Amino acid sequence: MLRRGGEGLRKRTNRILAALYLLGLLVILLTMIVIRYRLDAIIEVTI
Amino acid sequence: MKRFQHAFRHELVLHWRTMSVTTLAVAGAVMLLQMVRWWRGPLAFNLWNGFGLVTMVIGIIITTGMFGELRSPGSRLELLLRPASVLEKVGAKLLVSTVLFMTLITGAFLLASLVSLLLYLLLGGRADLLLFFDNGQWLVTAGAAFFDYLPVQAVFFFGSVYFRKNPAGRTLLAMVGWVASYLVLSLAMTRLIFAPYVTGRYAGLGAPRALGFQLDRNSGFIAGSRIWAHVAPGFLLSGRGLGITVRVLVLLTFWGLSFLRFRETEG
Repeated sequence: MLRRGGEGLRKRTNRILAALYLLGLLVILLTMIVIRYRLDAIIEVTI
Repeated sequence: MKRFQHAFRHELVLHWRTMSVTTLAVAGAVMLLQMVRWWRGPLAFNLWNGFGLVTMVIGIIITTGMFGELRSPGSRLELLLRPASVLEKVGAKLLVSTVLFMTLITGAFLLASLVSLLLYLLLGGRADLLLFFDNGQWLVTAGAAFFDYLPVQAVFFFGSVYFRKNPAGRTLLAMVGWVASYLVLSLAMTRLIFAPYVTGRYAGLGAPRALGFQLDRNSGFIAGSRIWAHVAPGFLLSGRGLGITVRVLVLLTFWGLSFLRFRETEG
């Protein structure tokens, strides 16, 4: 807990929570990129 | 093992009475609410319809109180000095707020169902007797509710040891914040990653086609399940398997974090 200055991220649980949060974001981002690539592969634009 | 038994017995003594009174009271209240409809004569009812929701709400209240000792200086010291390892103390609390709680609330609902059935028979009701026990499926309902409850319990269990004040409210707020920020960031990422599809500015002039479909602005580029089945990564399409995996991951992560956090508190 951010009770005293600088104490927050020194605790291991806080670092793990931050890492989990970022990992979740990364999973969302990678999923979207995969979907975009697969979408590009099946979409044809006629000229 | 003996120390774990001691730790468990300690937790049992601390929470047993509150938990049994609460579960019985709630089951009784749900039963009485159903009986309100009996003023015109007995009607068969199924208490187990509300079992999942009741378990979730009461379970959250009980779970967030599991580390209540940490919030008052005297009992905090007593908990920290109790002769058992961190794993044993956390394990005992986990066992009480999952298995014991679930057994008690299932027992309370079973008792309420039995009492309702007896009253129903006494008042002359004869039809749909099995409905009082969820058509004989009460154990399945209880089991399903348990598996829904476990991941939520894990998160609130962690909240109970993490937040010193108002753990239930703060855990809920933290969850809302976490999910809401993901939603906002996902929206931003969608606009960036799917830019041509969102704006409709494709690299060509003509209308885009996919799998034989002509896509226009109204059809929605991804709404069709055929297209989705083609583009979605495998894990998103696994359905049930994904749900179970996420539950198990949440469970193990937050139980593990609760253990770590409690160890930090001791240190």
